[in-house]
Parts: sequence; structure tokens; C-alpha cells
Amino acid sequence: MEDELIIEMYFKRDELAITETDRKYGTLCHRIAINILSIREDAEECVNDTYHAAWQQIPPTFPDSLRAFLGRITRNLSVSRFRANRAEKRYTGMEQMLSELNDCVPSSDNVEQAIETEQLSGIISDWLDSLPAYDCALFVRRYWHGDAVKTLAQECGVTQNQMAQRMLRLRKNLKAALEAEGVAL
Amino acid sequence: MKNEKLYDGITGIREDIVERADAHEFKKKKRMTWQKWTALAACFCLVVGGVYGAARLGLLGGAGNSAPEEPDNAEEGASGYYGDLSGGIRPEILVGDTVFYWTGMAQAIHGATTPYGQVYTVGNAETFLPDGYTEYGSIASVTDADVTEQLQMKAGFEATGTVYISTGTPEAVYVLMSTDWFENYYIRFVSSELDDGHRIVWDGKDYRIGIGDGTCDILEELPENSELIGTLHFVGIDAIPESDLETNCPNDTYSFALEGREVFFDSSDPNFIYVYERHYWSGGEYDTYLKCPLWTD
Repeated sequence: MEDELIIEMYFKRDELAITETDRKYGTLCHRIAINILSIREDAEECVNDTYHAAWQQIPPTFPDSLRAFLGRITRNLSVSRFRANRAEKRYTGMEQMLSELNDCVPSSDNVEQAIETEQLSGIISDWLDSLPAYDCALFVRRYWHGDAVKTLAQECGVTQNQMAQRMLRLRKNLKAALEAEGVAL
Repeated sequence: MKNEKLYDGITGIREDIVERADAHEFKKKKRMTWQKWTALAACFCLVVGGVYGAARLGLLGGAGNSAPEEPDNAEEGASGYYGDLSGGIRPEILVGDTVFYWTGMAQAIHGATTPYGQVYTVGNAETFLPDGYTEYGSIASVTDADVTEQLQMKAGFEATGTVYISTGTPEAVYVLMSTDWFENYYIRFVSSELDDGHRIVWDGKDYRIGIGDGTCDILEELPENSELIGTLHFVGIDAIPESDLETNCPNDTYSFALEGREVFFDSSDPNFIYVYERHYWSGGEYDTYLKCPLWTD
């Protein structure tokens, strides 16, 4: 079903909207949640919460991209759960991703003030725009969807090590970009 | 936590980028044919069998009787960064009088033209042996202590392989290596001379050029008295530059090739040379210059 029709069902408060959402984007949302949380039961709860949040937000929101809209909600809910339960150290997927992102944190020299998250997103978006499509897709799949390096390597037909090296290079590139923009976190 | 703020920043990237990335289809790299795999496997068996047999016969100084311990977590080594390698040991190998240090998989660099018309240098995801290298011998043994014997390797994992050297570029050796976490990859090792960093030669002196590592400040304007002194010539990552404006640094901050890049010099301050770099980020694009310091020990 087309996204517009699904969104229209949300606007009409038709509960089939949830069914259609699950049919079309359930796999995507599950994948994002499980990549972050690594625990199936927790991931399923997050996906259900995603549908609930979508039901609450549409209307009035009319997403430009239902896929990205749902993905972002799943990502936010999953990371909230991760933060709440972090002390238990249960979620290896997210820990691994955060550990990798340390490579991108710019040094704080010559910076006047910490940047706002929205502004940071804009800079990262511009940086992604400047990358070749292949690298942009890799970065989004790894750090937005949380897909494992192993999965991406298999999909691209390269070794896990080669993929990890490429990711390291991208992280260093992002760090340089953030530093060039005078970003502090 | 800063990395969590970065994570939040990534969460908020534009939706069209997510859509575009999701729609991207990765082209699977062509795998080697079974005939090639068979031939390689046969070579591998011969090498391993030969080393094992020699060790059993006591020809390798007892290496076969004391196999190094298995890695604690081989997966962690997959980043290719030595700090993550099993045991936290950066591998090194003694060849001749020189210790060579692990730098990672030897990937061919090739250029892809960007929308800006510049050349973007990328690894082609396949390890390779550069031209001019010839077989020198096999890894004699593996130790977790400092290397003392010819072709002995220091590493936190078990390894076998063949060492290749070149008289043209004696500061780098390549090892066709197999471990329990990868098989038959060419690994590049370099001497401390190359390991110190990339350089540019000007007026008979060495200048450091580092990309994204804080070696070079990035300027938006050149010093007032700077003059164009020529363009860079890339001599290869394994070579030590000797003539003016030669460099062994392949690319700039944005992975654009440095070959042919303009270089500036201010004679009133010979401690630096300046390498042009185009900056492309939000708000458009503008000129910048990498401020490369004189090489000092």
C-alpha cells in the first residue's frame, strides 16, 4: 500500500493503519530495534511502542517519509530504553555503536560553545550529502539503522575486516568534517 | 556522553538521506572463481604443511612445539587497527636488520571522479601485492615478545605467511598472511621511517603532512607573503620522497588525491609549507590550506 494511503488511514483514525504499517515497515522497525537492543523481547516492545507513537503523532504530523519517520521513532525509543537500562550492560549492539562513534568526536580546541543537536544533524546531513552514494549508504545503514559490520560486509561481498576499515575511514572523515566546522559536543 | 550526542545528531539527519541510503543497492564484489580458490588453497596447504613439517622435524628452532595461544576475541581485531588486535599487540616482523610494523591490509588505491571533477581515492576492497615485490621467505615463528630472529613475527595471534620485499622501496614489506581470523591477505608492514608519518620535500627539507590527525592546522587564508612554488607529485605510499615537492601522502582530508595539488611557501617563515585543499561543507565551499610543519625529530 502507498504511504499516502496509510497516512490517510491514520488521519481517519482507522486502526487498520497499524496493520498496514506493520505489514510494510515492521521488518525495518524490528531491525533497527534489535540492532540497538540485541534482545528480541525488548525490541518487540519498542516496535509496538513505535506504532503507538505513530498513532499519537499522526495527525497532526504528516510525514514526508513514513519510512524515515517510523525508523526515527524506533531509534529514539530503543535508545531511551538502552539509556534507562544501561547499567545492566545488556545491549551489546548499542554499546558497540557508541564505542565506534567515539572516533568521530572532535577535539574541543578553538570552539566557543557546544553545538545544538539540530545544528549537528544539519552538519552531518551536509557531510553525508558530500559523500559518494556508496559511502553515504554504508554510514546510514551502520549508524542510523544500526546494521552490523558483518551484515554490511556480506551484502557488499567484502570481508568483515575490509568493511570495518572502510567504516573507520568514514568515522575519521566525519571527525575531520566536524572539526573543520568548529563543532564541539 | 559526547558519542551519545553524536548519535542523537545522526538520528536527526534529513529524511531524504535515509530514503536515499535505504534505496541504494550495493553491488556485490565478484568473488574469485573456484579454480582460483582451489589453487590458492593448494598453495596455502603447501606453505602450512611445509612449515608444520619442518617444525616437526626440528628445523625451525622449536617453533612447532610451542604454538601461541588462541586470540581472546578474534572479532575485535577485525577493524584493522592494531590497537584492537588480539592481545593489544601491534604485529611487527624482523626482516634483515629492520623491524617492520603492521599498518593493515594492503589495499589498492584507485581514483573515482566526484561530481566536483576531482579524484576521490578509495581502496578497492581487495588486498594486493604492489609491483616490484619478490618473495623473501616465510614467517619463521610467532612470539608475543620483541622479535630477535630473522622473519620472526611479534603478534597476539597465530600466523603463517610469505614475506615479500622490494629493493626499490626497502621501507615497506608485504606479507601474504593467514591467521585464524583472516586468510591470504596481503598485509603491509613499514619501517619506523615510514611509520613516522607522511612527508613532503621542499628545498631539501622534509615537511610533515598528516590528514585528520592534527599534524596540520587548516587555514582559510595564506600568510601574506606566500607564493606558489609548484604542485605535488605523489611517489607512492611505500617510497621516501627525495626531490622537491614529492610526497608519499596519497590524499587530503576529503580523500581527494594530492597528485598535482598546489603548494605555497612563505620564505619569511621556512618552518611551514601550505598545501591547497578545497573545503566542501554546509554553506558552500571555499579554499583552505593545510599548514604543514617542518619535520623535526
